[in-house]
Amino acid sequence: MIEAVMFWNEPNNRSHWDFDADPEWRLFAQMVAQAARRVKEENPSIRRVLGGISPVDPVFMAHLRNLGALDDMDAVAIHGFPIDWNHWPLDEWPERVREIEEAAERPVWVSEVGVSSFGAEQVQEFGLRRTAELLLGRVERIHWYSLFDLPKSWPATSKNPEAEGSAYYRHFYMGLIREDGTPKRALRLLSELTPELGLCQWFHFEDPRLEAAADWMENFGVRRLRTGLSWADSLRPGALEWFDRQMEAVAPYNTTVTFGYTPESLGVLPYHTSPPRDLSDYAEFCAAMVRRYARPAAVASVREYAGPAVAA
Amino acid sequence: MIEAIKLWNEPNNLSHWDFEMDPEWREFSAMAALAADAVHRAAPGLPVVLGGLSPIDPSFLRKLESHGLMDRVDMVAVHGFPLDWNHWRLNEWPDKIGEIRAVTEKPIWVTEVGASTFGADEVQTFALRRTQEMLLGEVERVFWYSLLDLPPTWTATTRHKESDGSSYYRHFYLGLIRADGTPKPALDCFDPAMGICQWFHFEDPRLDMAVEWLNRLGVRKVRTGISWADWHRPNAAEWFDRQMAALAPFDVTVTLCFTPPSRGRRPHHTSPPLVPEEFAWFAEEIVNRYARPARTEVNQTRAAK
Repeated sequence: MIEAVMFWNEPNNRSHWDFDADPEWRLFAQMVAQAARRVKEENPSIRRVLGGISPVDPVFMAHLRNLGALDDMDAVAIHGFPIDWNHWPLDEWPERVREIEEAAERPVWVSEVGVSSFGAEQVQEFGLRRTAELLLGRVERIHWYSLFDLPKSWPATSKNPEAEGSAYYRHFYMGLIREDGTPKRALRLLSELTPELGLCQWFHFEDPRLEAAADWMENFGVRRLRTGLSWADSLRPGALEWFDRQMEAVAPYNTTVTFGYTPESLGVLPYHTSPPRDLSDYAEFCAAMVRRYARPAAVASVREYAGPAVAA
Repeated sequence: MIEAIKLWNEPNNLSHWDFEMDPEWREFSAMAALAADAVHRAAPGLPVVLGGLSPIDPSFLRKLESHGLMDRVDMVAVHGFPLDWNHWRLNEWPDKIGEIRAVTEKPIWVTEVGASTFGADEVQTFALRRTQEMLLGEVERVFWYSLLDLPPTWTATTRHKESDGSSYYRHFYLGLIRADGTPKPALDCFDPAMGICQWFHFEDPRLDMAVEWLNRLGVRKVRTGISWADWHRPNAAEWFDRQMAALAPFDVTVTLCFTPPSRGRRPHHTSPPLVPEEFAWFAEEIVNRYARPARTEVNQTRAAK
């Protein structure tokens, strides 16, 4: 079942929102506020969460709150990768959470946290264990990023290789499972940390790894999942068919679904980080997806299907 | 005492040698060969180490061999930071050594290996332990990079901030001791069978404090540098005399590197020099000043006191 909708992803990061085109985030704030209202109309029982900010920046969060972006949000979210990219140490996680709680006056979810096995799998194993110690019980939701390594033949499209130098290559090793399907050391810890620890896993359009992901999650007791439906992909031929398959595969989990990426044809500028020309287009996309995949009746039937695991 | 002279640093890295100006490393090879000969003449028996390769690249050694440089040096050296920058894994260290062993019979020294505490101290502790397990006994010398964190107000001058992106900031946390002087957890796991690589800035105020820590850790082997560029600054001899006297109790590998801007084909420390012999003259001067047997005795007497 869909337990939450997340509006956009990393709005304070150029890889997801072109803030040169919206320097004060006024368009962004309006867009997500409107979308949250529309989702609430469709299904008030689904939690509405602001897309995870990255870097974790309380000034940015306070700014969005002042712009009214959080008015209909139940929670906000943050992303952090202190071993790989951020300029703060892993042990400061609780402080990052507290800063944002204060700025947002709302619960904080950690919707992406992970460690690359770039140089050694032991580093990832250590990072997972310590992150769990620091955050489990502290925040309502933690989504570990990620289950699968990014296949090396896929570019990490939303990132910027030139600006990141060798740090770019860390993106490819964030998974608990290698590209060849074999488990890394840290995967052994996963069943100790689920169901409280969730996973964040993106699926590309018609991603062949969808079924394998469901199998792994089942085997390791995963209950909470964050994934996304791309607004840009929704205009591709066969989109709904693929979305249906994806949402059916993740139906057994308490899923947070992220809506992001402007379709080129609808942006002020023709790329997926651009503000849309008509802000309500985004709200309508979110509402349509909630209608299709999270109707109150459908939620009830999924709950029965999921059985005692969810009740617990 | 000086136990080895190292000619240049990371010659296959743009941060230290502008190979866009010298794409085949012919100028580099000629310069280093002249310097190697000068060191051997001035102090027969004092080993000459080729500047550490970074990245570790056996084909680069073959190239230098084709220019005749490999006959002139006594050992080769490599640098690796697999948790921070390289695109190979920590556990692959023995393979990287093997790749170099396959192209040269010279002894191989690992003159820089380290791990940043960028995100967590524990990562460095793990890497230090693992590095010791893999490399001690495998090669003759291992120098951990480094003793001291780079003070946050200093810039890592030899690095390309833009091309490193966020990984640039990893440079600041490679020490076993923080910039505020407090030790990190890895310090307790340090095995003095390794050496330490520690650079000192010109008139570096941390020199005495560093020596104190080296003694406390039981370190014997120290790698540092004398910058050719700094050698052209006013009061250079005074500073380097102080640096070398402070390090005299240790077995020191001295790295000679950095073209004085006024002596480069381009006014930059990575430029090939206008006159390659000048680097050899500099090397000879350093050896005469700091590595002659008479000097060594004086230094040993001082160390014994």
